[in-house]
Amino acid sequence: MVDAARQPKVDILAYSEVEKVDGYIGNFRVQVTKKPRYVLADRCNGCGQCAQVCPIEVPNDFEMDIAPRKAIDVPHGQAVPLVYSIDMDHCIQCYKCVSACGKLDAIDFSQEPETVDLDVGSIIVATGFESFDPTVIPEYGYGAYPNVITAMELERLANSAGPTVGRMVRPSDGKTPKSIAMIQCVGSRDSRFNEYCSGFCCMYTIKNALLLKQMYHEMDITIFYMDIRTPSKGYEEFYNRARQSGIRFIQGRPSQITEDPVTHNLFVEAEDQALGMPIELEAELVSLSAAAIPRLDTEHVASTLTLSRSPSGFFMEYHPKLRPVDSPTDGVFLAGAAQGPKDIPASVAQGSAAAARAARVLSADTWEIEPIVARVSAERCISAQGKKCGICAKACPYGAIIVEVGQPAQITQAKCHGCGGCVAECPHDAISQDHFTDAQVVAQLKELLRDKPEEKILAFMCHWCSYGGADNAGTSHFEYPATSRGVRVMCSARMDQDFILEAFRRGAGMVLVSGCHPQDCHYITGQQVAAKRFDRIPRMLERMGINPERFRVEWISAAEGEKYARVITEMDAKLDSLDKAQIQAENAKARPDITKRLQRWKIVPNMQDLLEDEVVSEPGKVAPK
Amino acid sequence: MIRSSDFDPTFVQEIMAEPGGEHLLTCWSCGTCAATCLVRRFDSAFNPRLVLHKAGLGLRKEVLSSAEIWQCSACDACYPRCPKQIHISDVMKAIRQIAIREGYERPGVTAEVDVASCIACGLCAAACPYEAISLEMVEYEGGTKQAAKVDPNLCMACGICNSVCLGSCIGVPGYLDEAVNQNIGEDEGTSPTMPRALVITCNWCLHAGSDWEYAQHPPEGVKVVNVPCSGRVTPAFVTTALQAGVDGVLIVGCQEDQCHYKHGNALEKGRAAMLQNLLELLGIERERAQFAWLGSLDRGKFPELVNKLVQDVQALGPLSWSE
Amino acid sequence: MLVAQVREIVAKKLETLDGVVALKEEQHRVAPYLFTAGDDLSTLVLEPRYPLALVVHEILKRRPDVRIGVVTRGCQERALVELANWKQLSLDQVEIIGFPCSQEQAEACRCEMPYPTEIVAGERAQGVVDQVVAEFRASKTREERLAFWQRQLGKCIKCYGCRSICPLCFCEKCAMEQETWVTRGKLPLPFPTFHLIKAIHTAGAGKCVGCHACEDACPADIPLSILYSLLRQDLKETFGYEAGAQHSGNPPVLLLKEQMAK
Repeated sequence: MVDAARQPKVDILAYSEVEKVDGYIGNFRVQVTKKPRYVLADRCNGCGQCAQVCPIEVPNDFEMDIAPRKAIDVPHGQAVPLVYSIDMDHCIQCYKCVSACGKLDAIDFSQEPETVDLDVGSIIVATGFESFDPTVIPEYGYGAYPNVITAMELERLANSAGPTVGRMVRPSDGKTPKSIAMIQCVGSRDSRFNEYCSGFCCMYTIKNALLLKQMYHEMDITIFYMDIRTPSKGYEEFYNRARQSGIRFIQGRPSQITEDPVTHNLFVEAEDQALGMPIELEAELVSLSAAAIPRLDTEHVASTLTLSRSPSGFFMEYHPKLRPVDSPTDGVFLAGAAQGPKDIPASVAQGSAAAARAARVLSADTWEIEPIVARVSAERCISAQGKKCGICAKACPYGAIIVEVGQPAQITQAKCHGCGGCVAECPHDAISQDHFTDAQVVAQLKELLRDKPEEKILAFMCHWCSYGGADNAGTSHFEYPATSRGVRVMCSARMDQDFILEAFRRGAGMVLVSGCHPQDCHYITGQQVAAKRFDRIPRMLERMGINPERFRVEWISAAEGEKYARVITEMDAKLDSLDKAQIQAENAKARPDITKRLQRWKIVPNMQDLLEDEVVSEPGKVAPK
Repeated sequence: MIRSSDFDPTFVQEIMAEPGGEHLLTCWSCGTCAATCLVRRFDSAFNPRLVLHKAGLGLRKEVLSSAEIWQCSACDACYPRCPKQIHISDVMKAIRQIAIREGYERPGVTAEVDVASCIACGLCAAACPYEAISLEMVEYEGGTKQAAKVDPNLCMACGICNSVCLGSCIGVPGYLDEAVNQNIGEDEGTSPTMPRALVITCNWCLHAGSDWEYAQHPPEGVKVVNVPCSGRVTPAFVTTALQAGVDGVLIVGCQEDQCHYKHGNALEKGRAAMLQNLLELLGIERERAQFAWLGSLDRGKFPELVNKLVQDVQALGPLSWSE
Repeated sequence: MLVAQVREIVAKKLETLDGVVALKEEQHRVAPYLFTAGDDLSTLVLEPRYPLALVVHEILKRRPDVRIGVVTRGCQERALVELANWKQLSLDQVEIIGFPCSQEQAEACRCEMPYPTEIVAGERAQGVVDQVVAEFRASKTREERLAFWQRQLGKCIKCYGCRSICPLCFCEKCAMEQETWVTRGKLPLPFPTFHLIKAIHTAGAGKCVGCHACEDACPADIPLSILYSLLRQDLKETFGYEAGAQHSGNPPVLLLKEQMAK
């Protein structure tokens, strides 16, 4: 941090909040509020005289509330910048600090918050994590028994710069405990709280145990665990050292901790799995290795920066393996525990990676964006006419659309990744997609269904998964009947309901819509949007008189060539079993209804002619060109 | 030695298809349930972790023929603590259903009915926490008669049926009224100047090892009698004790939501209040019949309660009804 | 006159019922009697109060095929309802021919509802709130209470009259006769388990309807109803249960389970 402070090209805005972020990659506008310290940063030299005389004590987050701090203080001894600040909620303005500060005259009660506007090219989010509060696990007694503490509290007690200057003492009587029990996976790997493993607790617990063993040779230390996870370089050797030093490891998750009301000693009850017997261990102090959880303000940060969150609550990366430090928003990167619990080496590695990714943006004059973007027609957008809509914004996985009543929907093209979900979702056909316009797709339908359409399966495929799957079927020689005709779009989200109806209007025998598996969508939530839409279609078809068995939804990945072949084969067999005259009759019956529904499509460029095409009305016929 | 040829995957599927058994395979044998289990305190052969692990491996014969699958009393102390949120008693029930289908029966004692004296009033059937009792036409002296009938596969031998039956027509062998009354009435040879105190505890309320040991070696003048559940204690046991010369009685059961047999303690709480009021009306001091409810986290409270009883009884002096 | 009206109604009912249970006076003695069609109803009387539910139960036990009526006061109707709750008879087999108690009788019994749900003649008296327990507690110290009961219960000769006359005592194996509960061979009883068990098993179990038949029957004039009033009040306060108030078809322990589960 000190290096960062010394670097002339690095500006540290400490004690500040990011209020608003606008713009897009290469051109972000960030509004920051600098909170008032009531101390002038250029005059304060960090001497600490003010804190010494301040009469007010307040809770101390850094010391895990084991020791207090003063109303004027620094977060901790190594804070950068080492400038004091006053907690005005508790300050009584007694001016003792002013007197102590003396000639430096660094204290200024008149300070106001300051707004800073920054123009930046890229953003890195490294907001870290928080610790789980074990009070919600009543059987462990945290909060009820004084000598049950968390591992973070233990760290502060053992720390030579901590509130007890490195002497390990226990809360009830201030004596050094002769025995300590450490309990792993408190709040982690637990369906009631957090399913995930916090990753670093095994290592820090072993570290704490070894440290204490070094300081107090006779101390009896037991670690209760389900699994010991020490995967990285040198970690397993470290674990071995711990075992050899006489630290006791018991595999068995404790069911409860009870307290002797007189001595305040604790009794940890667990099943020793190796022995297959219950064990009751008396310890003078218990340390709970509490889970790492997302910071409580994560939701606020996520909405400010339009970041998605993983199911665990940590910020979501673009791709867990291939782009772990990118967020789905171009130009915003993630580093450290904010993206998921990780230890120091991993955090540092991610920090360097995020810096490199961010630097790419800064060192470029121009940045290539997705060419397949969506555009809003101001004439057709209903929001521009003063009506409330916003359906497009809801469908967008990237937060690239802003909708204000009275204005047409605004798409930030640099944020658009080209899934086409907004295009298909817009009920007023007000949005089009470059290179995949409605007319371009329907023109394909026109040709594909010109000749004997009732004998054909029209397959809509998404570019990333199911089209790849179809290709895979071909290159792997998985045979399937020649009755399918494919139309590729970027994402299943683009597969407009109107396309499906148009296919039936033009006489298609069967229609297949296929996309990525739910968790694999290239556009994060595109598949979800599509799936909800496709759910409605069978009933709609039924009401129109079209046998819903002629419509099928499948999720096929790029590696599932075999599946693609199998699906087409099944659909072909089904199509064979259906009477072609019956199909024609159904299509004919539904045609007027569909035509009526698709009337409004005519306002979209180049659609009018296509919709007025003559279509095949008898089996075995060909439509005119 | 276990061989992979002993694994029967259809057994696992059968359990998972049974309502309650769906989550069998998420169990990772952390042992939280085994460490919590109250049955295990009493009988170390019972280990729910092992039952689930063996079932997960598909060891059909070993699991179905074991006595352990019948021992879980569905007190559900383990369920709120399981980090995988597996409803373990439901899994046990699922396994039992399969066992019953394959012809296995619950081993050990279950409640038995004295058909001759049963008047089919339905009290036991209503009180049973496991709905193991029904009123049916049973064979009796060449004909049939309406009487209570116990399903041995559902009975957990808590004895609550016995405590509500006014005629003592149903009960668990080993804990029938005569046996308990005799136990209560027996004087351990205390000196005539020492007041006699009686403590009746249920099997499950003394969680800590040290409390359990204290119960087995109580102070002089105190007799400790064990019953499966505080719900087994009919108020008449207190009258028997007072009749036999006991000067003060303490009944200890489990706290509200921790009854090993679901609601035995709730029943007892209701009767306790009534008994104490009755004694008070007769002019007998309330302190002579005390009730206490312990939880699994209440280490060290039991000796305190017993000491209090002894002190109270000493202060009150012997109870003498007839001059 | 009340009794004349009742006799008329009974005559009518006997056309459809297999019989009607009521009190009969013969040679200055009154006893329960099963009147059947054709009997002389001029001997049918209404006094004194008597637990006719007991008689009805005995008849129905032996003859589950018949349907009989009973000329009865409020308490006996409640006794019959409670017997049905304990699955000892079916109310389909009983028809209540109800008449009200007089005001003096209501005061003597401290009865809250001195009339059946429907009466065929007469006028309902005012219900009385039972204060005896509160008064007893208020007027005596613990030692005085002890002395009182020592004397009262000391009069008992274990005639089992209270048990035998109680309409709700129907157990085949009576706990009061079991040596495991009540020591034999000593009078006065060294400790009143005899009375405590009776009280706990009737009033405590939710059976006692407060008909005072036990107190009437006791040759030693022991004021048993004070004990039973206490337990009935307790049951009502804590569990909301009143014997005979409602035909639920189930004994009250279910209520206990539900109540305590809250």
